[in-house]
Amino acid sequence: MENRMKNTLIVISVIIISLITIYGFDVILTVPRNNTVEKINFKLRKQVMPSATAFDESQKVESNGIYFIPGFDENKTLLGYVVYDETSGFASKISFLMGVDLSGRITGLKILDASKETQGLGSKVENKEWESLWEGRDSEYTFDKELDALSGATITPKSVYLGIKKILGDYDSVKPESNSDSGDNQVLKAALVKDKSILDLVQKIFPQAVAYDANIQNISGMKFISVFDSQNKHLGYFVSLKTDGVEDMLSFDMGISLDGKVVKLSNIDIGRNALTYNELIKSQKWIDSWTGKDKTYKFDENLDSQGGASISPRSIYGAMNKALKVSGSLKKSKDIVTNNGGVGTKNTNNSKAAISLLKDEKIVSRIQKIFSNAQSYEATMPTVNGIKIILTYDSEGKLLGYFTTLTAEGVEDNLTFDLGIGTDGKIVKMSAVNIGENIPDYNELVTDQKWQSSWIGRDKNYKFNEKTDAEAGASISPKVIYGVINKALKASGTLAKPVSTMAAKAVTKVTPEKKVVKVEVTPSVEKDEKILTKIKTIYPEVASYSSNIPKISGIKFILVYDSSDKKLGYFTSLIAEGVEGPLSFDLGIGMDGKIIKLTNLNIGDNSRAYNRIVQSKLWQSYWTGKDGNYKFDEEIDSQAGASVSPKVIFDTMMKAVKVSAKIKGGN
Amino acid sequence: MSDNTNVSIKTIKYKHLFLLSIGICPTLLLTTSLKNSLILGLIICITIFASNILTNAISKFIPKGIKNLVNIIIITFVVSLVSMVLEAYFLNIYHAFGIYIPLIGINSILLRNSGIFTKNMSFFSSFKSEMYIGFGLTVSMILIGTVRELIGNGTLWGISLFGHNFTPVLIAMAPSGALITTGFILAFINLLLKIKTYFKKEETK
Repeated sequence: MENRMKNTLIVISVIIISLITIYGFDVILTVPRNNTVEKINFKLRKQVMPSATAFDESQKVESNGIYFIPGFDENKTLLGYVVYDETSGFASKISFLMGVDLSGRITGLKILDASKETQGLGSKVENKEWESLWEGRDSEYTFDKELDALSGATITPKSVYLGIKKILGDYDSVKPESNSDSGDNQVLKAALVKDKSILDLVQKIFPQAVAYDANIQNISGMKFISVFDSQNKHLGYFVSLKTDGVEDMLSFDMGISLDGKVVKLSNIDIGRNALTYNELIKSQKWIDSWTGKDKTYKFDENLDSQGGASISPRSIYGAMNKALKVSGSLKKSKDIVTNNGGVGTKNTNNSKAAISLLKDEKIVSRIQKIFSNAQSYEATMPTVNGIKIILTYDSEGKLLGYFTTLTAEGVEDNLTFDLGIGTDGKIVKMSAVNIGENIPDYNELVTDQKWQSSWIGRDKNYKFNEKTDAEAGASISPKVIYGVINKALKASGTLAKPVSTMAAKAVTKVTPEKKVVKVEVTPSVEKDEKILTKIKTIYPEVASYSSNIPKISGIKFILVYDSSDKKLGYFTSLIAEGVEGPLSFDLGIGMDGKIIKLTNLNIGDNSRAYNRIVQSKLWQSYWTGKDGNYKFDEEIDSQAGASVSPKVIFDTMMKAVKVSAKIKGGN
Repeated sequence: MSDNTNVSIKTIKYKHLFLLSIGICPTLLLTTSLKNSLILGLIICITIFASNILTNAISKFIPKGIKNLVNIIIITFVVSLVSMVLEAYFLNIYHAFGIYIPLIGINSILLRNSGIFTKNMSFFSSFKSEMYIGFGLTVSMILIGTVRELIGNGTLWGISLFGHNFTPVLIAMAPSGALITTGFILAFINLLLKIKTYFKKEETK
């Protein structure tokens, strides 16, 4: 017994001694630990923003849960921000660090951890070469499968791209106000240099060149030199390229015009490659053949290569094509910088401009899928963060909300959809989801009506829920859709205040005009093919229609004409409340108030078995010729044990018939 | 006695990983490159070294019945210290190895030996034998790491050896590749041992 006590005491004392020692070590190591963290952070940040010499974590700016840490140079002037974020890749989260300069361009990218991605495929995004591709790109850049995807791995690079894009989107709100100015300065600063040795090379391509910009733009590992003539006019870009030949590197100089075309090739050096196989590319004719080609040009085996020697020409073509593609983003971003002032003035113009309401039938019908009582929309569509937002009004000129068509970048192709946002910043509805060339199997969820309706009522504070909003194994599409929705919601938020006051003005201005229109009911003649084909199922002889009739009791009527402008009757799409969900159908009502035809009946989510009768053509044809005085007959008109659907359809129809009589009276 | 231990030391230095196939968990997951293998080997060596000194120093005061228990506490204690030092000075390694540093504490090789050698041996000989084990383990892991890095990535210590045309055998980098590599090396060592014993038999004949 004594022994046991002794043993226990020994064990306990050993444990206590070790714990105390561990605690002591922990305290002692705090300082070196913090130093190491700082050192490593600085080293990593320096990698993504080489021009900065100090980063101040205490001045970080938060946007959307992401921290932007400012980087400074020796004179303590702000150079840009460094951001850490995670993006969901193919198999795991990929963490990365990114530097953005004040004009919104990436100064560097460092993938910190992609080790859980497929080894040797997706994890290759950690390569320096791939990371350096991103230098100089901005939020305008779109993913280029040929350039950016790694062989055998598209999803990991693409998800990194999406992560970057998200940050650049958020970056707009972080950028300091004086930003555009400094951006402008950067361009104005364009220090012109006249170094003879470089000018000699440049003049072989641009003979009128007299100076070039010392700020060489390095994008995707290619150095673009802006070239100017004696009037300081920007002539284009000069770039020296290198590419793999068979035995050795091939190098050449190239000029790219401002509109993205090849000006000239020159100075082709085949190095140690065999001359016999490279005679073609040394020939003047071949060199001249490239002048004027742009990035859309495809390599032609017959024209552009020598019999038996297609590797060198093809390789040169590849390098040129890459440079042309990249130069596109280069030029664009430059334009944006110079345009910055212009955009600002435009915006102020917008707010001053009188609001004019438009009623293009095609757009209104799209909007009506979301805002069912929308009648018109605003002509000056404000663009916020690259999202075009359409303000939608009902027949009284009251602002209903914002309508926007969004594009999200899916895995294989873009996903497009329409979104309605209420004035309170909540989602009204999502519709017209188009998955493009994306694989349908992975996008079943997105096209599902239930999933789409699950978004209704959510606002910008809603966080994506991996479990309920995504499908196992296919979370990219839902997630990218969430991303753009969130962006749009935020954009609409910035819009909300000025617009509601604008809308108030709009109401006072517009309503009188509109009321005049209402009273007269001068039917406009419209011929939208889509609607006409729908109407044709009821009125085969239809030639045109008028949708100018305002809504009465929540029912929208379309007046239908034949080719001799004779009124045929009214057409309307109705929705009845069934047991499990709405039942929709189209109805034609004659000028005499009699039902012409009931078609296009869609039972939606309702049970098929209980709705057999309403789906039968026979039952639908019962109603032809019936008018508002008809009484529902339980025995004839409904199915045994299933009288709800027939009854609600009957009620809805009768309501429409009675309401249609009112229009006639008004006429 | 001394003869007996000498034999066991010699065999055990490569026996543990390859012939006994114990302590294989960190080996398989972390030996993706020569660098990783070497670092892990060093960490294990340091752990063995430190825990050996400590167990020897206090073994006089520890009754026989609880010796193993105290040994385990000491090993975990040492591992905690090592991981803290790594966190403070070598953060990259600390993050790269993650959970496998604490797991060294329950490495069966370490546990096995702390029990065997501290019993009847002098400080110096037990220290020597433990260092043999650590060294042997490091060498075996370096072997696996080298093969995996060469085949799976075409590099050695991060330096590309075969140029751009080399297509890496991706499976070598996956944990399954580690098992396969270990299997092949094991087979090779067995073959060598067989040849050796065969020649020995010939000689004695």
